[in-house]
Amino acid sequence: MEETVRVVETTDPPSKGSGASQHQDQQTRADLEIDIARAQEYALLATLLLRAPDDRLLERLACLLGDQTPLGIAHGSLAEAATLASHETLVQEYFRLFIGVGRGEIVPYASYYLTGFLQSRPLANLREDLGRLGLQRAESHHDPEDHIGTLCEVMSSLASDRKRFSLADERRFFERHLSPWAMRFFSDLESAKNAQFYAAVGTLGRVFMTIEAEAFTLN
Amino acid sequence: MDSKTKRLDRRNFLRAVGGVSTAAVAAVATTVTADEAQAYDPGQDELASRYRETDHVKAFYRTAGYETLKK
Repeated sequence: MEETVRVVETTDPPSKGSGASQHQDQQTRADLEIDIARAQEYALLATLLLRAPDDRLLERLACLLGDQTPLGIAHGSLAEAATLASHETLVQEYFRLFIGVGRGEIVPYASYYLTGFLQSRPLANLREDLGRLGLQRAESHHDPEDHIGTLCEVMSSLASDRKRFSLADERRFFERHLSPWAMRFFSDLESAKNAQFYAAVGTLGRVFMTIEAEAFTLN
Repeated sequence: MDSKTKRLDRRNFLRAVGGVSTAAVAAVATTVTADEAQAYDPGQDELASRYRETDHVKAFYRTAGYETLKK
């Protein structure tokens, strides 16, 4: 919540000089609202993908309201899946899907999806780009940065801080690090044999990635 | 003008596909970001041990070809 407020404050003044009309100001505000909504969607995906949700989060997820839009339908399904799940069962589901003995059903790293190996060239490219953006892995987090959840977290940061990151930064990051594989990952998650709750996460991710890819071409 | 038209397209497009349900995500997402920096907690079972089987360690076993040794 704090971050949301901060973003609105920093970008609130009209970007154009005295000629900036109220209409333009409203448009800037509308863009901000959309970027904040996008940032929150990414944050939600990141949280769901980095660890199994606890019961408190599941309760909140169950309150998500669906509507007739593509994202709304995916939110509705996620809410329904959350009502049927518990933290205990999700810890097992998460383990079978992403960790496993030896390996999980799905390996959620860009490097693995793109080259067949973990910690390969795509991870090096990612680290370079993160360095350029002034971002780095938190010390408490030991997973390689090309985990899908981490990439969603980065997108969330980029979308929520227009003062620091431009839309072009965001598009570049998306096109280099998510669009080559994220859609495939979410489709795999959707149809994974160990996925029940996470199938709904897969659908939400796939729908959201499709929308994002389309939206980035519009700008 | 052209770029402005495109910008409007993007905004309208994102609004059309997201609808009002994105507002509900806000309520969920703002509560979840707070614990993102959580450290790994091994719980009581692993208090005695310095070795922790984190995802990173598991990834190492996986890439180094230790799958057959590791049960």
